[in-house]
Amino acid sequence: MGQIQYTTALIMIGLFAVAIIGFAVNFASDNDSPISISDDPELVTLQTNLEGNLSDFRSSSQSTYQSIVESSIETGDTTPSGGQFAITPVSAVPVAKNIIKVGYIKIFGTGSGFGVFITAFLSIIVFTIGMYIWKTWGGRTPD
Amino acid sequence: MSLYNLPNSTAGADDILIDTVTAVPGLSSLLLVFVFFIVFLGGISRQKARGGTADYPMWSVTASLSTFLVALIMSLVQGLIRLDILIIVTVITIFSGVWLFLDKRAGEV
Repeated sequence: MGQIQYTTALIMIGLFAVAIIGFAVNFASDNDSPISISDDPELVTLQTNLEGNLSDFRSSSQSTYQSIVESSIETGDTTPSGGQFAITPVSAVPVAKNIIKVGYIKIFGTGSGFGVFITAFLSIIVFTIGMYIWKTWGGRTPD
Repeated sequence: MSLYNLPNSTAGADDILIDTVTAVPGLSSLLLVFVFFIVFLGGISRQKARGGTADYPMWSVTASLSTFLVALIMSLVQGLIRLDILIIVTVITIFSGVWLFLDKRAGEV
């Protein structure tokens, strides 16, 4: 397994676990069921910790992608800087952010706990794109 | 003297189940095991018969999610399922997902 596959698998595990626990807890509160996994303190702590991990991944993948964008090749007969790669994504990111924000608020509302899913999932996509560009640029196999 | 007390069915079908679970506490967990293995083994054997190979992690996720939903529905009624059994089902579901996502053929997921 390569770097991209491994990272994606780990983040998907986190999202999957949060989704399962959150679904079971919300099922219990919506239906007022007498047996609820929110009565178990360890699983609730796990969900809180996983949400924190995913939020950390979001910020760190942003900085990783930023460093990829700002990197450059010093010598050789290839392109001298990452300018061609750098300008377009960086300018497009605020545009995409605003568009996604409107759609997100309309669909999921504000302050929803579902935000951790969308942000972590978008972070995976951005991270994967960045790693593809970086590894292809460096002549390695993007995996 | 009767061998066992007949369940009172005037309050609905779930009372019969609850009385049965009270008499035989292992019933609910064995029912969940039954649901899990019906989906798991059934899916694997049919996929093997059709395609030659079977995707074990995928079928374990499918089976544990089916079990998880049945366990959630059982949690609506007091006395049908215990909290620790529900927690075990949840953890098995999460571990099946871990198995699926960390499977070697990650490109197929």
